[in-house]
Amino acid sequence: MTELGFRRADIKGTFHEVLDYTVVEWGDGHVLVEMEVKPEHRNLGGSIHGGVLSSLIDLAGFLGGSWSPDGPGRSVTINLNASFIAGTNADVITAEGKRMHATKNTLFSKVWIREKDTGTLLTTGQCTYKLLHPDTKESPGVAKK
Amino acid sequence: MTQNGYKRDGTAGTFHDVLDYTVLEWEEGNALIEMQVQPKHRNRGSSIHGGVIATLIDIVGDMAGIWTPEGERKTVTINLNVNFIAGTSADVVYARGTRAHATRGTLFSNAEIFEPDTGRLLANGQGIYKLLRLGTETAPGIASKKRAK
Repeated sequence: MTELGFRRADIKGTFHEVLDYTVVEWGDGHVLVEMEVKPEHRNLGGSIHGGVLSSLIDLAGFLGGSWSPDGPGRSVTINLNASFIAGTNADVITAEGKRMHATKNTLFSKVWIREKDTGTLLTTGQCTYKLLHPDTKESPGVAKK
Repeated sequence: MTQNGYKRDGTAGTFHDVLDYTVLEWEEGNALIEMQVQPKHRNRGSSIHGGVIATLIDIVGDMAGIWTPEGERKTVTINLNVNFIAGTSADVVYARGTRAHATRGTLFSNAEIFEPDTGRLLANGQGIYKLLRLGTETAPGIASKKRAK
């Protein structure tokens, strides 16, 4: 894994840990994350599962649009569209997320997933997020037990 | 063919294992799976991660179109569209996939995620899959060295 990279601090025990990605670059309007492909990320046929790529799109699109000096805000995903362009046998892939547009409540992002070594484009995606108020602690519709 | 509550063959050690879902119904053109929501499926805000929902839609849309009397066909996903409609505090979610249309080489499916008890719709989506020729062992673009894993 890249020396530059870091793991996000607040993700222990969540789905983020299953993906086990590293944030390589993170600034206002863009992010680059890197993921080492493990057996548990693969399909029956040995390719990367479409759900893993969709998950990377979801989180890179959000990180790409939500950088702030105090860390990322909170959001819920409204829509996600992924186009799977090519298969790969690479062991490391990158996901680049960019903010296309944001209003007070809504974020539109695009994501490109590539092979790290060759830069071959594997998947593109577009996401729409609802940005939650900074004081929101729980996602909408999730009642406290 | 409808058996109740079983795990799919050949999914051990793959991403299917992380989702840890159970097949409730699986026949030609239709599939229903159940997932117990575990901490590893959740977000920082304790809702289900969007990637988990997207994965369920990918899986169940695929299952709806690959069942044949002779066994499963192999596919690769071409496009996946997911609408996240509502959050939930349910501990179990259902995902149903239905085949919308299939040609010789392409499968179009619809999928819905809902709460089992209330039937409340949480997400829906569409998947487009390339149906691989029978006998294909590895997905396109994957060299055989990864097959050994």
